[in-house]
Amino acid sequence: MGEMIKFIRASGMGNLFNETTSQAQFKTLRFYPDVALYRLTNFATLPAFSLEYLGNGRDFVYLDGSEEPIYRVNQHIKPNITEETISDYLDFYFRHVSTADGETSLADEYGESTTLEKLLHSGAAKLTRDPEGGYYQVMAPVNFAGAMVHGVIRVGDDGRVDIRDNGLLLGSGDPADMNESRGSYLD
Amino acid sequence: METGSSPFGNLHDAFEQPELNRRAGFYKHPDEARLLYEMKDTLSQSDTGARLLQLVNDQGIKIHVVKGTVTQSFVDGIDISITAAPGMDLPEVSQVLELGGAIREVEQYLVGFIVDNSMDPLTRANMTHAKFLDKIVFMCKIGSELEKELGNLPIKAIEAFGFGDIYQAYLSEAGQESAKDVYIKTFSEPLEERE
Repeated sequence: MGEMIKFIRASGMGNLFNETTSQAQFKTLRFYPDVALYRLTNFATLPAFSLEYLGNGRDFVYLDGSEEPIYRVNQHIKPNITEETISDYLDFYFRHVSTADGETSLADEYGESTTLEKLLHSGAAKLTRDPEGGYYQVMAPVNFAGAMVHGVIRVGDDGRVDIRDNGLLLGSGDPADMNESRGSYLD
Repeated sequence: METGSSPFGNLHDAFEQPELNRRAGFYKHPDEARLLYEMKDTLSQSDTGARLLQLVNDQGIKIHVVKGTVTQSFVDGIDISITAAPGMDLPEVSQVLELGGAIREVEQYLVGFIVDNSMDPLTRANMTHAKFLDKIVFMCKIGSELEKELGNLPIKAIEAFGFGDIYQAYLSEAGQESAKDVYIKTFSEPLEERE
């Protein structure tokens, strides 16, 4: 934990944590064989204050709520996106990326946040692979800005995520592709 | 491949010194000035908030807006860090209340209501909870004072924090004493029963 606090101190935020009252936890990620998720929590005050990082135990990248730090890590450490790991990757992505309109997540039939694995199991989501395009496509219900929409999510082999619904585009995909997939998973 | 003490790979090579330097300002929210202006503007519409903002000016309290996904704040002496989603350029009511609570935490510090790590664990726990309850009560106070301007948004924000019962108790005739009882009940429950 000392190394982590030292690193954060070097980036100008050392006052948030100290070794006496803070705790560091890490969790391995199936889609990043060389990188783990770190959570640093300061229990000195209530409620406890936590920040999360991607790191290797020595270097850390702050997950600031935007896509940027995840994509920056992906440029250097290619994520292992497969049929087996895509559910974990999307779960990780939704937990750590939020927009000005709030958090986005996959939704079950009650509108509660859920995982792709559960939606695939219940038949509420469809997963396909475009080997030429180099991406997986997920069609599933998505919570966005407090509303449930029919989401079309593309996850590239490079870890980039594009989320689209009826006419609304989040990410940098091509809007021209929207019509072909709109609502098709419910047919 | 150099891994140092890391059980994982060589991220260090991927983030050489220039990258590290770029990260120096990485936490700071790009719209910090505007967000702070708006937060203070809303906070000043409550009497309690206006008094706390006067304290910010009088004591030179520094407020930093840090990028983050969850609304939270951290107080270190007279320094406050408060989080906001990266794409956000207008604050939510929850952030206004959080800022009010954080300034109250600084006020606690300034009057000497400080938890010291050398205290015995029971005293430390008691003081930590007393400080937290005091912060929540101030957030409720600001929320109730803002209802006239913002309708039910403050109560919704307070409920989202998980302080809805404490807010109702605060509004009751018993006021702060009743809020204390609800606080003890709320934070005595296992986490899963609070949700």
